[in-house]
Amino acid sequence: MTCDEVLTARVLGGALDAAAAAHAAACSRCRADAPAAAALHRTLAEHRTAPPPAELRVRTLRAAAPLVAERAIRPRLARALAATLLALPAIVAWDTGVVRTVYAALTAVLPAGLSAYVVGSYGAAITVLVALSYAAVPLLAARQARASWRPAHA
Amino acid sequence: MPTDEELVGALAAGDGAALRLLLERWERPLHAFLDRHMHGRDVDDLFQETWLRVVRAAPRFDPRRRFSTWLFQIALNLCRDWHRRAPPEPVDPAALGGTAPPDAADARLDAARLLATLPDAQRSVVILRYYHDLGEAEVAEILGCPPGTVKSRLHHAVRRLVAAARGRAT
Repeated sequence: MTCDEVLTARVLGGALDAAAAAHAAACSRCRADAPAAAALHRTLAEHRTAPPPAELRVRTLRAAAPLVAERAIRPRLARALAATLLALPAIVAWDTGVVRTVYAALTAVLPAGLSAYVVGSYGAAITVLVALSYAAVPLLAARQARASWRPAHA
Repeated sequence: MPTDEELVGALAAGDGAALRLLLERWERPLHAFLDRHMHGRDVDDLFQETWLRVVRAAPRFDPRRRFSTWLFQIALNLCRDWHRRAPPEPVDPAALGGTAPPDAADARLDAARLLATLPDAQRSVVILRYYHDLGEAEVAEILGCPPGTVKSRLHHAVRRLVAAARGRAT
């Protein structure tokens, strides 16, 4: 036990244990410090702060609301993406089948080059449409989730 | 009643009610901590920013930790950033007194002035140990230093405060 430990314990207001009390009783420096430590403890104890302004909680909750909403939306977004990605192989297989069938039908009446051009254009258009649809999924899901989050948590 | 740590988990999943509960439990201690640490300057802004950081960082919160330790750590980091950014402004003694009665205001002024004599690192230790009753281990975690450093900072701070209080008395 040192004088510093005794002084700190006194200022913090904790009870001195047996070893500290024995040291404090025997040490002239600790005895001399005792009134100052008690005075400092009282001064610090009287340092009370004003309570937070009433509107601060409201302001803080309002500022945090968009961030909390994002947290709420993320799992729904992930579920929506996962569900739509599950359907992707079936969509690709279906479109491939359609393209093959159309190509086979066209080659029966048109030259092969022209048939390839028509089917290629069709395939490209389908690919662009599917890509755009998948790009819109997260945006639409987030928008829908935000719309459903607001009324319940506003 | 859910624990603070469970509430942070719920907050990470986007539960606004969890944030409201945490705020109800911790607004006073956090506001008091910031008030003492910042001598009353920009306390409300730092308070709000602390909670925004809590929301942002909630998914990374380790539930084995105590929420209070984490919260004060965030607040302290913000105070440090603020000190690095903003030049110190003169403290208005009247503002330190607040709306408390004259005697209480004097005592508050004394304590605030005494605390202001300490370097930031020592002041943080005194505030967390004395006013928030945190143990050395928790303070060490908040400050990111070994418990031995907390102990020595506290001893130095107390010696300095006693000396400053004696100087004031004479």
